[in-house]
Amino acid sequence: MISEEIEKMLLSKSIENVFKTMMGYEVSYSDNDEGGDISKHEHYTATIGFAGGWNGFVSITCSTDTAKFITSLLLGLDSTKVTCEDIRDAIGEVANMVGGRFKSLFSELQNSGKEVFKMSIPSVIQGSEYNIFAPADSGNTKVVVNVKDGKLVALLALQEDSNSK
Amino acid sequence: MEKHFSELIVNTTTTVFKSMVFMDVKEIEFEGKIDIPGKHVTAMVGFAGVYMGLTAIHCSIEFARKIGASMLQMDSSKLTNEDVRDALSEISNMIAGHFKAELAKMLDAEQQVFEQSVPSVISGEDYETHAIIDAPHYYAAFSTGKDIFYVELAMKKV
Repeated sequence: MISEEIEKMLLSKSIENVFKTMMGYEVSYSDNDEGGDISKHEHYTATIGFAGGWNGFVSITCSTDTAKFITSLLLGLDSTKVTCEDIRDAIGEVANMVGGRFKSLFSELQNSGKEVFKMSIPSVIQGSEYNIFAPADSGNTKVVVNVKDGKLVALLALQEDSNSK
Repeated sequence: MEKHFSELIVNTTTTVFKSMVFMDVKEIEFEGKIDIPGKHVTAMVGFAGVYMGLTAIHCSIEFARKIGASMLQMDSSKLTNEDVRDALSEISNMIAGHFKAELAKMLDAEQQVFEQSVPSVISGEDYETHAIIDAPHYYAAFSTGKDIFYVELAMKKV
């Protein structure tokens, strides 16, 4: 079991690191930011599962405009020219990289010498009027960052596998 | 081999529904896209190991409520949204778990073919899901006679 505070810190660092090293962009934070209600409008969510000694997933959710901006940064394209497929690939890749960075930071923290988990494939959800949920017993750690004029909401679900305790 | 994976996910789903939800479900023709009008729900389980990928179940919120009522032996009107999500999560977990066991048998594997993530549940009126994978993708449609639901498998060998 790790505290929500530590999960938040690791998740924030992972997002900051991916945006800085892969897109040359510094994300920022606002006080007491819950991310507003992205779900009312068209938006994207990318998730990637964790499986092994620890199980869970990380998801990132943002509006279509923010997703286009991220895609343009990652792929070096004009944001007006990106296709839905470009956005899905880019957002999926960002979730993959955030998950990978989180895994690396979490492994350092655990310092057990064992692989903490393996990552599954990314899955992207596209639409409006939908929400994503994690099981109640796996924590629901949320981090909200500012990306250009929008928000990116990251959700982490993580629990230790009962067989590996 | 691909045909076997597709048969395996169909057999797994019918077995899990019979034994855990106490429902007989039959595979019907998949018509190229997931078509669920109104509010619907998706439960996805990622997996990683010798094989990596995900399984997902997609159904209407009404059918998810019936699954919850049958699994929890409760009146469906008394189930909370969280009960419904938990029930569908559990079904997706069981489908992935049963598929894992059958896949290991089929491959005569001595070690686990993969480990599973916790399920994520998506609920809403207007959304579509895409597994990002450069490998074959399998969809199967099922009917209970009244309700239709879909099971998806995206998988590749590492």
